[in-house]
Amino acid sequence: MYDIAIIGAGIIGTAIARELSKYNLQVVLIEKDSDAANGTTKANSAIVHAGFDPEPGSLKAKLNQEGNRLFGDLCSELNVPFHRNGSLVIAFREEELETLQKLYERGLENKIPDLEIVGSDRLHSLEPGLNEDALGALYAPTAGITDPYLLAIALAENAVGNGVDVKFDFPVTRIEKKEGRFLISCGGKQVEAKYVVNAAGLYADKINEMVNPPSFKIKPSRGEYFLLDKKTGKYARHVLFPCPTKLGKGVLIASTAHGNLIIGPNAEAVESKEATETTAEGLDYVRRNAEKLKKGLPFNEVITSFSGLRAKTDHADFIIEEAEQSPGFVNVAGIDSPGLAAAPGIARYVVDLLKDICGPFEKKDAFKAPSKNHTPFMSLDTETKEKFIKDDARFGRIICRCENITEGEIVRAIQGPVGARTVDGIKKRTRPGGGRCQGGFCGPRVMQIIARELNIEMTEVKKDNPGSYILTGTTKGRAVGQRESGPVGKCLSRDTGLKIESGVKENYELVVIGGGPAGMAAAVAARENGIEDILIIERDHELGGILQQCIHNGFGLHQFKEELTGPEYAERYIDQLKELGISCKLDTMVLSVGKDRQITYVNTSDGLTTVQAKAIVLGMGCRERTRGAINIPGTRPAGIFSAGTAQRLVNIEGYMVGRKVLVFGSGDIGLIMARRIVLEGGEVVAVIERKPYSEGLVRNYVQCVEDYGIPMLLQHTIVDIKGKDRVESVTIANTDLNKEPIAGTHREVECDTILFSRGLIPENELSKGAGVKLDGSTGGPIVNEAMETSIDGIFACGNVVHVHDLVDWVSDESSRAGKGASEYIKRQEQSLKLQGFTFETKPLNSISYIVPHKVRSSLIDKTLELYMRVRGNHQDAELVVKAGETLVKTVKKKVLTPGEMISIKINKADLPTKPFEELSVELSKEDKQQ
Amino acid sequence: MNESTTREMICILCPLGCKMQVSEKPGQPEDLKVRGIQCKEGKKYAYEEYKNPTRILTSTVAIHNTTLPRLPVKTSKPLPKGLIYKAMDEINKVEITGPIKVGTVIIENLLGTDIDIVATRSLG
Repeated sequence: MYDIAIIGAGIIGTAIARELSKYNLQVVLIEKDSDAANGTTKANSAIVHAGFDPEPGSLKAKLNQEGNRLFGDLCSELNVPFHRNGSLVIAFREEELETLQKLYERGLENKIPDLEIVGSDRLHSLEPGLNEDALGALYAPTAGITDPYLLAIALAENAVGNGVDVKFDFPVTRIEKKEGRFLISCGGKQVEAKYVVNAAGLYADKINEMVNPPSFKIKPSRGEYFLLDKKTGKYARHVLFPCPTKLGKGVLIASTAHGNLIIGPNAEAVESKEATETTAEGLDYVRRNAEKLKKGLPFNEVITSFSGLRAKTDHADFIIEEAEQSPGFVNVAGIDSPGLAAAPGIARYVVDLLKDICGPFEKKDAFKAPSKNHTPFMSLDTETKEKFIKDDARFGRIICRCENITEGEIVRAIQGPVGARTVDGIKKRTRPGGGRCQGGFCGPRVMQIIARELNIEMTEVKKDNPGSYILTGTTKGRAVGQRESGPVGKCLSRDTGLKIESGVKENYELVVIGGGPAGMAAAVAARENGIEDILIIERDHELGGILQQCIHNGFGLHQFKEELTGPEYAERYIDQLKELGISCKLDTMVLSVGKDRQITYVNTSDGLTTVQAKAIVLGMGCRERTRGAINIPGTRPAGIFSAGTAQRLVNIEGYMVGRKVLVFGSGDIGLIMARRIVLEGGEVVAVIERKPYSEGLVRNYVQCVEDYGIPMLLQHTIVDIKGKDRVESVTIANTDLNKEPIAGTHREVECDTILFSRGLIPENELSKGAGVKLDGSTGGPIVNEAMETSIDGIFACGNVVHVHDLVDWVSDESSRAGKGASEYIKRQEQSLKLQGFTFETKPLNSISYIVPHKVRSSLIDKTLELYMRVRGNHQDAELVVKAGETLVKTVKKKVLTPGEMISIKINKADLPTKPFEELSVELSKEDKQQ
Repeated sequence: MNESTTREMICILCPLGCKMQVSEKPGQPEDLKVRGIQCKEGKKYAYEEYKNPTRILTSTVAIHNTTLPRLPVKTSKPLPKGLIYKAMDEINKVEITGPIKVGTVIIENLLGTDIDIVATRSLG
């Protein structure tokens, strides 16, 4: 029998558990879900409020003030991020200045330190970039930001380290009072305790009513949020609030503890305690209101949207008291804002209350400090990082490439009594999947690590609660064993004939980042042009990049004059690398590229290493646009994949991602995956496309969709996703010419899986870090005819520059980059100066971009090749190339579509020899624009 | 022949994606009437696609003793379209042991068609 049972492992339950673990008591923490911090704690603003807002004399006022005061020490003890960056409540109208004054006075009464009312000038210097009409603000320097779920988990771990038991997947179904004790049941399971603390959040009323007559009712209030990519956090130095109204604190803008930007919430009363879906209306409200504070917020950097429920009651204040009818049963309910800030205060208050009820507690002689360090590997100093890798090589293997999270951290998150058991559990603790690709790349790997560490099958790995299965089986109906090699096992030890470089070498002539089609072709071309000292750095355990999962045919018609599959195409280049003896480092992640061409990489054998290159070729490829980035409202269950992630799981890993699949977007990967799903025994309910035409190649439409009788719904979009644990259905609607849903056309389609095929984005985080200038329309670097970026000696090619339709063009372009890099190296050695003049290329009217952007006339070989794409569909069109006003060439095209890349070859002889500034391309005849 | 034998097809040869109506000429089953397309190649495609539609089938087979659990494969030649599902059944029956070289025949003379299933990558 336990002395005390705490129901609910949110921030409140875990804080109380940890506080109680300081005493000689038998304590159990009970949670209905599979993990701590899974309700309100998982989805909120993550703000530690200063405490000027609550009614003086209330529990909220007292505990907010106390909690905020305790927060710094608590977080540093537990190694959880907390930044006291201060908050600003901003007034935009005269009458709001009065509100500020009232808040200020209330703050003084609540004993909030360092409050200050600041005028317009001071405000704009404290927080640059606010809308100009901001008149003044209440400045509260003690407000801060934290990571609430990491905090709750750290609290639970510290509690367990000091003897508290935790029971997950224990939704309480019954509580009986019996002779001075409570019998707490979950189906057949039972826990006995002398005292009960009800910290069940949204369900606190239900738990209370298991033993007591109803005395309060939890009325969930939903708040929706946007989360923006890392580094956008700088848009808010402080936590920025509008003036509060009767509805609440309003839509805030703040940096998160990890440097993302969070924008929200709205406040909407909802019936269900599980209504954590987002809505188009709610998110629109958030966006409009945020822009009242600050215009020009980078909503194009949104990586996801989410919603959380606040456990409101009719009482204005927290309810923290012993139930009248049940001595020993303490309700800790109605903990809405400022619940997070107040949590440390609440924990102490509840312990004091329990002491009053049960008599004095005996303090433990030795309260143990937290055993686990949650500090992200990447935030450690270089020396510590190196030590970590030396002690455990898994810290040298990056799994999440958006957030640079190592295998070591993921394993650490799984270990221990409150270790992660699920993909979301890992995400809460170390954030893989919390970045811009939203788990597209690392998801399958994280699942493999979970399966390996917990000794379960991949198919048993859940996103969150037991119903949230991710995989629906294996392909071929045949088992897949544990992966013995690759990124989550020991490094590839088999002899593949590839020259794998071991050991650190400080200087290279050429370093190629990325061993996909771009990097391989660049390396081959550089060697053929006389560069001996080349290194390819690849993050995966093998070369070939995305080609290895593109098992379909259609590659190589231009490059090899025969039709190959993706892996065959890759192998042709891998064979060339072997013949040429070009060195590679596999399973190696580049962390940064400097403008002086230093490259810092990490892997398990070399640790953290910086090398110097004479030239660099960037070939990192692209990533998929996620559901989060395109703001599709609804719930966030398992069963939502980007098409490429599904492709990897099905084709390489041998797993099925769904039984009844809807494909959103008619890009080629989506169409090809639709066919794969059907051939592997699944059902594709439809492919839906917002535009009036299919985006993929005609061939893919015919051979992947039509051949299999899959309905293709053009001019349709998803307006809602339903399903708590796994996708259950999708609401679709017809779209108008602006691709917006048309009212009254909504209908529900049953499915368990959604594949998003909504376009690709060049992956330029390393390029940005180096200071490479990017083109807004391609998303890739601005390059010259040799594929050199704005930084001397740094070249780029393939999908990192612009998304190609055919890999054959990637190879062509990359050969030029490799050749360009080798010529650059030679020129440096011979200190040669370039002759001639430079001109820019200029896309006009329907041409959306041209690569290259700049051309040095003296470096054109015999022909200059321009790559471009058009906006819209065109028939019987004519492309006109002009140098300044001089006509250079016209090219007739029967048909032009945005999905197809256009290339125009221009003979050097046709270009004017006299200097000119611009080479433009335009569409002259647009007879039948669709 | 009546009109009900007319088949709607989309030409896949270029991005135009011409919608074609293909039907057999009355009394001349060897000859086809192709409407909706002008170009020669398109008409040739229509003929092929009407008389004997074929596809390269790509898939994977289960493999052991290798770094990855599935080996990508394809048909060595285009397969009659009607045999795709039967071919999948055959492919799914296979379980092989690595290492394997690209081009290795995994299934010989698939369904008596003289078409092989071959490995499309080397896997060790």
